[in-house]
Amino acid sequence: MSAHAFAAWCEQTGASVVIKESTWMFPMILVAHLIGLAWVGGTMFVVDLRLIGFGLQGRSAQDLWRDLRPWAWSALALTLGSGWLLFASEALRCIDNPLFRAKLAFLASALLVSVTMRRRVLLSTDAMRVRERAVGLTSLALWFGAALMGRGVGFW
Amino acid sequence: MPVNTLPAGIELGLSWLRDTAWSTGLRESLWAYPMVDTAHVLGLIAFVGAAIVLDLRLVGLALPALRVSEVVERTRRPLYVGFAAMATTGLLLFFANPLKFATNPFFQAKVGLLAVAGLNAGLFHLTTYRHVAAWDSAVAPPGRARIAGSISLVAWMAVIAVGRLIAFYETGAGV
Repeated sequence: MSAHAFAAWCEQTGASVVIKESTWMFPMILVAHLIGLAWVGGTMFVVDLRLIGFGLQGRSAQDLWRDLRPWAWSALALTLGSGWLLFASEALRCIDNPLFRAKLAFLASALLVSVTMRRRVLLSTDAMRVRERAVGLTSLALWFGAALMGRGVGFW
Repeated sequence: MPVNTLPAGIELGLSWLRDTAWSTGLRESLWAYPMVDTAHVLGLIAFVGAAIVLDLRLVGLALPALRVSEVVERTRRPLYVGFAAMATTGLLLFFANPLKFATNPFFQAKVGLLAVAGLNAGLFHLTTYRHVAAWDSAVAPPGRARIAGSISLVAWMAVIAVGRLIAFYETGAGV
């Protein structure tokens, strides 16, 4: 299936039609998307900053992540779920938007790093200063890129 | 209650501001306005992100092993930097469209909520937090600290909500 066929299919799903026909549904879902993003911002980035060597020095990044992980993943679920609904309601417009494509690329890379390198470092008990720094910086930069491109989508 | 008509003096002042060359330039710019807006959101993520972590500690829902004062000290920098970015870019955005924002009910609600968040933080630091030594290591801080943390969480989520809705007033479809 081509990207356009997929987008066209998304736009005729029930959820998409309901959102398109309502005046306030889209803005409300957008609000949920941003609130989710703020929570991801807080809980993921505190750990990334700790990996780099800033912030909550009183505990290891591994300990911080154990505490914040449920918050981070719930917030991410809210952000991704609301993001999917926003996309479905204007899929054809989104896929031709270069900023949206860039955002997806950043997001996919950030998620990939989270479940591979970042996860490995955060579950490890060895001290790996250089690797921790590299993973923290990469994760932070990728999420930052995704948010930056995301805000740009609406302006394109 | 939303204020649809402003006092004559304020309206005059804001329309003068709107017609200045700088305001018009920013409003009509192709790139500057979206960039300021994007910086506003990034500043917000840094600020609210740090505030959420601190508030969760105050409410007793996260980081139980960290002293409250350490979380306060360590979130201070992202809070200040994020707030400075958010406030500067926020003023610029207002400056580009002063009349449109001042009469927008979501903007008015946002200013009110910012005042609530600010007063709450100020009161907390001047009263409950002064005696932090007594409950610094408590997993669940005293009721007043938990209430301050809850008010802050709710107020900032509401600020994000009404802030994003500003663009949807009247037109029903915003950028």
